[in-house]
Amino acid sequence: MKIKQLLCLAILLRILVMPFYFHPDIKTTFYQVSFLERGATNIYSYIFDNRPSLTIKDDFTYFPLTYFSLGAYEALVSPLLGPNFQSWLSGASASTVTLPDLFRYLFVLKLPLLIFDLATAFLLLKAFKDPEKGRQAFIFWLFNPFSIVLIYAFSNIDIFVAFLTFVSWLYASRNQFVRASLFLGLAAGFKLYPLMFLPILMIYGRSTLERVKIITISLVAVAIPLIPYIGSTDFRGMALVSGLTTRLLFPGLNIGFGETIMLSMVALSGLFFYLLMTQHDEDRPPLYIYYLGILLFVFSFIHFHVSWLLWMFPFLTLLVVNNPKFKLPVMVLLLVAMLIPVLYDDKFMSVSLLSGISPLYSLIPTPFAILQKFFDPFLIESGLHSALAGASLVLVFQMIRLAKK
Amino acid sequence: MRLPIFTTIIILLLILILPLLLLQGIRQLPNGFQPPNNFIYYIYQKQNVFQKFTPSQNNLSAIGLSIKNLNLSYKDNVNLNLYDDQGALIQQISKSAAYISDGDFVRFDISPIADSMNKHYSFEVSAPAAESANALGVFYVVEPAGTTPGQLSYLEFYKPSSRFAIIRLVYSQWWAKIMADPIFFVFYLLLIGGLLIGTLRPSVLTKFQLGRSRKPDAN
Repeated sequence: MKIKQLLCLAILLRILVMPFYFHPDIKTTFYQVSFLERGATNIYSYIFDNRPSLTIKDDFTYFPLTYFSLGAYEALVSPLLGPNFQSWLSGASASTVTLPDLFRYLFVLKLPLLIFDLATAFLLLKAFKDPEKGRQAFIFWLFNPFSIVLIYAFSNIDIFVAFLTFVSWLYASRNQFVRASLFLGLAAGFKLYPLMFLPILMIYGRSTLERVKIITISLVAVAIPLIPYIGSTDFRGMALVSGLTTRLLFPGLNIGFGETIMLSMVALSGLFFYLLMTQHDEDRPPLYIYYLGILLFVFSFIHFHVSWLLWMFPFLTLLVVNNPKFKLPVMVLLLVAMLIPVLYDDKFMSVSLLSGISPLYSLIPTPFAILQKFFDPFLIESGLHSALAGASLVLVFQMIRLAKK
Repeated sequence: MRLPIFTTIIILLLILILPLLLLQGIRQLPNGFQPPNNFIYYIYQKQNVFQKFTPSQNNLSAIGLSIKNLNLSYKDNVNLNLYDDQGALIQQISKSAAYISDGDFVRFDISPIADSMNKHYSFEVSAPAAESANALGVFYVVEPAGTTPGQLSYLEFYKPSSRFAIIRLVYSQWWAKIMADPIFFVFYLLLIGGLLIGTLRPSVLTKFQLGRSRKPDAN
């Protein structure tokens, strides 16, 4: 098949999923970003001040860049969505899934995800010197079922961050570290996790000056959109130190006297010091191996949101294309990683994703509830997560070993 | 080339087959959406709630309502007694509250009543072993006041006549929603059609592009 054909098929598959799979996060997020049209520039304070009168009272856990970009998009497309759109957004009852325009809303609201998804595919196509490898990466990105489900069923903004992080890597791989830092900072302006890559990116700098530039530019790029909000206690409480943001640091071993060994920090510093010690080796592993290593370690030790798995996908694609023998283990690892959230006691991780088609799907017992009748679902979830951790450790070890050969 | 074919099959399964398969998990149909849980009322010892109702369909098979059991503090039974129009107890269902967490929707399954439609029934929910400290909360849409009985927030469930009836209902809901927005439906169909042509017959696209680029030459 030619690239054009593949692209048509890839878009077709996405368009088949877009209107029919529904996760309430997309509705909540677009309800909250609609405050931009009301002139609210500090959404965090707006929510705090108006919470009693808001129909959906959740905190806005994203950073300001998400608010402004999605808010601007919503303002742009709201004429296409008809007069009932705002009442759908603000509706808090279960019956909001029965609205006749629901499929149009879901389709239009997911279009930015499609744009960033396809943009990532084209970047992968051009990321390799060998056009055949670029084609393989293009195919792997567009035609692995995991990313289609993650992006279009769960409909979170992680694809924006994954895209920007990948752009940053692309520049770094071409030794354009100033641009790489800028995009890394921009990505961290949506979600903080790309900052985990900053120490690694810094070591890849070719001189002390370049390393200083990498750190400075990245941090300035993150800080600029946040500066107007840093003084806001509502912003700090809802987004900056929210449970979602700080969850990456949670799991740990208590060593007493109030101290905890944070497992994700252990992994991060382990990789950082390994790289520091091998930085002058000619056969040091490429940058993306470390990015991927960090993410694999982190997901091994935290209770992750399913859409976070998308952070790994651009780098997994690079890995699989450069080392085809990793393809099967990666697919198995992804399957295990996807199964863990399906077992959470949350209907919208499984059956209720189809509630846009009919609300009756919400009546179906979740995998958690079914398993509960026979066995402890937490034990199965823990077993799967342990398997993910074990497999990830081996994968990281093998990635580094093979990359050095 | 195996991956695009594999993923196409997976996505078609997700869109066409999975919705059908999951419907096998539905045994009972509700009579609508649960009304809002506006007011909370606590039940314990002999303080119960009582609700009269008239089923709109035959085969009444369950009654469901949200129950608040803060910190799983009540672990004994919660009971639902079903009475006929004469006030005679016809069914009694007990559930352990040990697994009912805060605000869970709890369904009390009864033996289906074949001729329930338009008959008058009432039910009573009680937590006789609870104390005021670990009372269970149930919710009202309209709060009882004085002699006004109030309106509990609950759902009736009915056993469908066949498995096919559920499939027919869900697919008719799906189809009705698609057809309710004809502009989007036409746009969506055209988009799918165009992408299908682009996938299966790339020569159509190529010819279209060549046709455009050749035009200036012809002049």
